[in-house]
Amino acid sequence: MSTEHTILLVEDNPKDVFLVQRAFRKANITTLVQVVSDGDAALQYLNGEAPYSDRATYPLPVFVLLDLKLPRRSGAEVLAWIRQQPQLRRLPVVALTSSREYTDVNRLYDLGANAYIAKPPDFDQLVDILKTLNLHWITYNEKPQLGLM
Amino acid sequence: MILIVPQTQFRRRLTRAIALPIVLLLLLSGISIWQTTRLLSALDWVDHTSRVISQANSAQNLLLDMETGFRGYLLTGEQEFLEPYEQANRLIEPRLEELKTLVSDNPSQVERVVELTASFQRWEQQVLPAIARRQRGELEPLSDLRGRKQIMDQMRQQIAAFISTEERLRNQRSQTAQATTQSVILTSLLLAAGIGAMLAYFIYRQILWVSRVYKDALQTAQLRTQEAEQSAISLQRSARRLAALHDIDRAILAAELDRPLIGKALTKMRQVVKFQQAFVAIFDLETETAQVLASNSQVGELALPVGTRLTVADFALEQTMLNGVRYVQNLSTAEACPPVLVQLRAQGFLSCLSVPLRVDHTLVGELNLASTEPAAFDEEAQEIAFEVANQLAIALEQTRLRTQLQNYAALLEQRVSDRTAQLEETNQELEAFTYSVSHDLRAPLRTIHGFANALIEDCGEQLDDLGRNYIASIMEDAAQMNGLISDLLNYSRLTRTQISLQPTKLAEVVEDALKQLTAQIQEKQAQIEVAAALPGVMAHRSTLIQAVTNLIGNAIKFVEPTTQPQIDIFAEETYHNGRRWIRMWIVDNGIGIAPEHQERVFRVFERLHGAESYPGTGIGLAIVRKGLERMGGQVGVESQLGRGSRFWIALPMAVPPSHNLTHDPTPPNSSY
Repeated sequence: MSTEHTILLVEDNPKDVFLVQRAFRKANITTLVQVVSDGDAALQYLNGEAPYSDRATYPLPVFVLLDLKLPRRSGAEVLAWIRQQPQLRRLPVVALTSSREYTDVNRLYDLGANAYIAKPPDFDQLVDILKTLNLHWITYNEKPQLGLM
Repeated sequence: MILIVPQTQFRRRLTRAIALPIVLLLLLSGISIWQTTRLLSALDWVDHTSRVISQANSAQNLLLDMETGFRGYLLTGEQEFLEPYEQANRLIEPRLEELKTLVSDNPSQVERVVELTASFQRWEQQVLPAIARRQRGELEPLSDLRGRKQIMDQMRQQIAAFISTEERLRNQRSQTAQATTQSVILTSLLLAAGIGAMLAYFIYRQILWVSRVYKDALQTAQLRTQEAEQSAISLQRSARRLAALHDIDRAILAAELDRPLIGKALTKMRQVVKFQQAFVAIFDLETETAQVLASNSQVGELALPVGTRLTVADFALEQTMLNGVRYVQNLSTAEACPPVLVQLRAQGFLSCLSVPLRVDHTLVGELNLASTEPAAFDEEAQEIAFEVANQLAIALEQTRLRTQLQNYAALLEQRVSDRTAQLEETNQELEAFTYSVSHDLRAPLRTIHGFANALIEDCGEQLDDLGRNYIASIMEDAAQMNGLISDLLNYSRLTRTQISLQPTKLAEVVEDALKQLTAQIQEKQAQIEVAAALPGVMAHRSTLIQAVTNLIGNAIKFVEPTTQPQIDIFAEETYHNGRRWIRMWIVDNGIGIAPEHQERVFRVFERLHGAESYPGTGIGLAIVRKGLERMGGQVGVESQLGRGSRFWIALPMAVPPSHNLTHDPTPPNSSY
């Protein structure tokens, strides 16, 4: 069942990408994780633009794991853009970032983030978090319809 | 009081006015009594003498009666004729005796009476035998008759002498009495006249004095009345003047700008001083220029319109201007006028009053009053002009100071905004730094930790124990550093974040804190006793949870390794500065803190123990203190080394939510 779903990870740091992917493996989550490394790429992916125009290869994600500090277009801008897209505005977005600043937290919620998670320093905690996210957003959560006005 | 006569003097005069007539009258009475007595005594003597004479006459008559009776008896021999003799015989001796007594004061007369008595006795001695003889019928010898006649004649002579002596005496005494009467009358008249004159003089003196006193008083009163009238008049004038000056004052206070202010002052001044034109020129001594700032005219065009630019020298030499009011009574006859006065003269003005405007001996301008009449400004006008000039000088100075102050204020404001901008910049830098720390500094730590973890999990089997220990150390330190950064960020966030105080239940806060500490509590098997009913306080919930978590965490952490942590949490109500406070105690059985270190533990990075015995960042209590400070509360500790610690936090008691407080001691630009 989980193979039907895709998670979009927006993260510029390849080491973090590696660790997140490893944590997914450790958490025994088989959900497909698509990775884009900057804000613009995230927009292209979600918009189905090249090089992500093939929805079979790059399906719409069930939720987005969004880093905030990104090259070119920041995580906040990506989120703001998503919330402005009629087809995408219901897409769950989970901010995953190293900042615990209230400014960041509040701004992200203001922009319509569904969750805000600070990257844990401990790898095991990251595994726990990903397990929880999987349970919440994929196993139990009722998914919204996307692309329907 | 108008009659200013010393009271003692007045009383003395009054006493004299009463006493002197009394004394004089007493004297007059005394003299009159004495005179009268003298007169009476003189009259008495006259009377006495008359009585003596009448007695003497009576005695003479008795003697005659006796002789007549005796002769008749001798002739007739009848007893009936003898009767007058016998009657007189009974009276004669006492009468003579009486006469003697009456004239006892006069020895010669007494002598006469004695002689008369002796004569009578001799006569009687001859009468008695004669009577006896007649009774016997014998005849009287002629010799006897002659003898008796002789004695009788002698007696008659004696009495006559006596009487004539007395009569002389009487005349003499009558004269004396008369003289006394005259002298009494005369002296009485003289005395009366003298005393009358004295009294008259005295009364005249008194009346003169009183009238003079009253005249003086009257004059004084008149003078006073005149003075009062004059002062009433001058009071009226000065009241009018004061009112005008007061108006000028008000104008000075009300007007902000120099020009309207001076204009108003000049208009007001016209109410008390008669002038046709007035203007105020302001001097700039540095450039030697002057400018007419405001003027006031009653007649046509202004001699010097507002804005006219002149030089200071046009008015007069600076030094002469400083000396005071310059008054030219008649411009047409004045010599060596400064250009301004020449201009006024050309306009037909005849008198001019120039008053310098001075501030602390510095000339700032001049007030000029001009009139088309000569000698138009009396002394009072000069005084008023002087006062107005002083007021204007002060007003001008005030304007200058106000401008200066405004400039200063603007400068200060500029500085403040500069500083604020600097602060904002610094703050932004600080925020950027914090952000960077929170993001970028932790990212490599996370990767270090993550990859070390991956290394030990994925390749752990290929490593020996030493290698695995190395990796464990790397992970430990990464975790430690992460904790440090995390605590620092918490601390800095506390100083920068705006927090709002809400009624917060301590019971829930403690519950939350204990939940966060579950792992430590289980690890150390800590026994935690929480009092049943913890009250509500005014606090920022998450900050308070963090503080309480740190305090309970410390209580669990800082115990001897062999000791089971025992923690009591309870609260009490206190009063401080008229407010109700809640003080919550967290009492442990830990290692305690020596008194000298009790203040240090609340500072950032202050650690009392090595990380190996009691791990930590040394920021926990600093976070507690900062958090409590931000919420307007306090934190403290009572402890003894080895006897546990009693930490307390104090916060204001909860008030209903409608009274929410926003507690924000940080500058507004640092909050977000």
